[in-house]
Amino acid sequence: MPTLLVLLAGAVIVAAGIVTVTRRNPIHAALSMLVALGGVALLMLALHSTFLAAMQVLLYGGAIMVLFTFVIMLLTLREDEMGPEPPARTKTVAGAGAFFVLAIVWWAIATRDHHDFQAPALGGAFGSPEHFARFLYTDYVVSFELVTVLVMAAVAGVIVLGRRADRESLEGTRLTQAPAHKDPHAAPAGRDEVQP
Amino acid sequence: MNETLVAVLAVLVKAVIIVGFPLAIVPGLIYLERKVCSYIQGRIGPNRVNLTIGHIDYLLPPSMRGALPVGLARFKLIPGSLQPLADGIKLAFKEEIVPAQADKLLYFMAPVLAFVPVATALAFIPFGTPTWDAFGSGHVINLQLASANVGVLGLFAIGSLGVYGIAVGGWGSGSKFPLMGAVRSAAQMISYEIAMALALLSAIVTAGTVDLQAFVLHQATTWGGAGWLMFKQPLAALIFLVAMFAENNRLPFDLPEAEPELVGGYHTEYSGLKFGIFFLGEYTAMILMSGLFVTMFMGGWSLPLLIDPYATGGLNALLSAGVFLAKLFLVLGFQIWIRWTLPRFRYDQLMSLGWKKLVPLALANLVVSAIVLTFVS
Repeated sequence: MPTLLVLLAGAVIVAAGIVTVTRRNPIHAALSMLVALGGVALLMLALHSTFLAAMQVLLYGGAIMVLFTFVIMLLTLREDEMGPEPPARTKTVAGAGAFFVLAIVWWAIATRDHHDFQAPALGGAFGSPEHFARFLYTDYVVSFELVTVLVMAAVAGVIVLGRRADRESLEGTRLTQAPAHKDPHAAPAGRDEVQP
Repeated sequence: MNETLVAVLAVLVKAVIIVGFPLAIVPGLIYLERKVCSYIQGRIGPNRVNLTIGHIDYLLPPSMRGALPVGLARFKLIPGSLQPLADGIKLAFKEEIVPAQADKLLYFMAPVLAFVPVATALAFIPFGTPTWDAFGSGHVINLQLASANVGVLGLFAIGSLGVYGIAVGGWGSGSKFPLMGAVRSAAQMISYEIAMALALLSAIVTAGTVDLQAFVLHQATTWGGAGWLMFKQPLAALIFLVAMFAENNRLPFDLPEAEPELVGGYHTEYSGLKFGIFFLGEYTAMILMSGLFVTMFMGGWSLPLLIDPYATGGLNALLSAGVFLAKLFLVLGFQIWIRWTLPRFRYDQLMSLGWKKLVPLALANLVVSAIVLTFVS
C-alpha cells in the first residue's frame, strides 16, 4: 500500500512537472507546479512524515505559490507580451539536457546495491511535530541555526534592494535632476499639460 | 461487530456529518445574516417566502385538505425562513454566462477550488468528546474525523489553499474587476495569515500541543475547566479574531469584493450555481475559522460543570457536540453582527493594520509568552 502511494505520488509529480515546463500560460504553469508540490507532500505522507507533509503544503502551497500567482496576476501578461516561441534548436538542447540528467539519476538508482538495505523501524511518534522538533533542536541544531542566519541575511538583502531610492545614494544620477525651482504651492504637475 | 468494521463505519458517518454540516447550515446562516442585517438597519428583512402550518395540507390525503382553520393555516413558523431555498432555486435557474475572454479551464475550476479545501479542513475540528463509548458497546469513538498528529498545522495547510479559488476565479474570468479583486484578496490573505499564525503559535506554546483534541482537553482540565485560551492568551485571541475577519474577506475587511469600487470582486463574472458554490465556500470558510477559534480559544466542546471531558457516556458526548454547536453559532453571530456594524477599511489602512500593528503585536506576545512559560514551569 505505501509503495502504491509512493508510485502514485511520483507519477503525479512527474506529470505535473512536465506540464509546468511546457505551458506558455504562466498561471497554468504555476498551478501545475502547485500540483507537483502537492505530490511531494503526498510522497512525504507515504513515508510517514506527516509534519513535513503539512509544512510542505502550508509553506509551498499556502504561501510561496500564492505569492507566485500574485506576482503573475500583478504583471497580467497577455499572449503578445510573452515573447516569441523559443526556436526549435533551444528546445532540442533543453530536452536533451533534461534527458541526460534523467539518465544519470536512473543510472545512480539502478547501479546502487540495495540488497542489504533495511528500512528503519518506525515508532508510533515518527514524523510527528514532537519527534521532528527533538531532532531539529538536538542533533541538527547547528545547521538549523546556520540556516536561520542565511534566511536573516536574505531578508536584510531584500529590504536593502527593495528600499525606495533616497537622495544621497542617487546623487548625480538622472533621477535626482528634478526641476530646479519647484513651487511647492503649484497645482499638481501633469494636469495642465494634457489639456488640448 | 468487529473492531475494524466499527472503525470504518464511524469514519464514514463522521465524514458524512462533516461534509453535510456546512451544506445543511449555510442556508440557515444566510437567513440569519439577512435577518440580523435588516434588524441592524431598521428593516424587516425577508418575510415573504414562508413556511406556514397550512403547507402540511399538501402532505395530507385529498379528502382531508382544507380542514385546517384559515387563521391557523396561515400561521408563519419562522417569517421568511424559506428565503434561502428560494435564493437557491433562483441561482439554479439563472443563465450560465461564460465570458468570451475567460480562460475556460480555470473559470470552471475556481468555484471548486474555493470550496473543496475549506470543507476538507473541517475534518480536523473536534466537535465532541474523544472518548465516546458507542452505545455502550466498548468501541471508543473520537468525535473528530482527522485525528492526525499535525492537528492545527494540517488544518491550516489545507485551509490556506482556499485562496486559490479566489485567485484563479479572478484570473480565469479574463476581466479587470475580478482580477483586481483577486490580487487584493491574495495580498490580504498572505498578510493576515502571518499575524494569525503567530497568534496561533502563542496558543500552541501555552497549551504545549498542536493536536486540537489535546487543545480542548488542556482547556477543559486547567483552571477548574475554565482555562480557555481566550483568558490565558487574550491578546492572541484578539489578534486571531481580527485576522479571522480578514481571512474570510468579511467586512470591515471585504476589500476583495468591495461593491462600490469593484462591482463584485473576484466573482463578478460568475452567475448561477457557480456563483452559488463561491458563496457556499465563503460561508464554509466562515464556519471553519469560527470552529477553529472555538476549539483553540473558547474551550471547544467543553463547558465547566456540564461536561466531563473523560466520561464515555452517550449523553455526555451529545451534550459536548451541542455545546460546540452553541459556541460555534455564538462566534458566527458575532461575525455577522460586526459585518453590519463597521464600515469598510481603506486598502492602505488594512495593510498597515496587518503589517505594522498585528504582526509586531503577535510577535511580542509570542516572545513574552515563551519567556514567561519557561520561567514559570
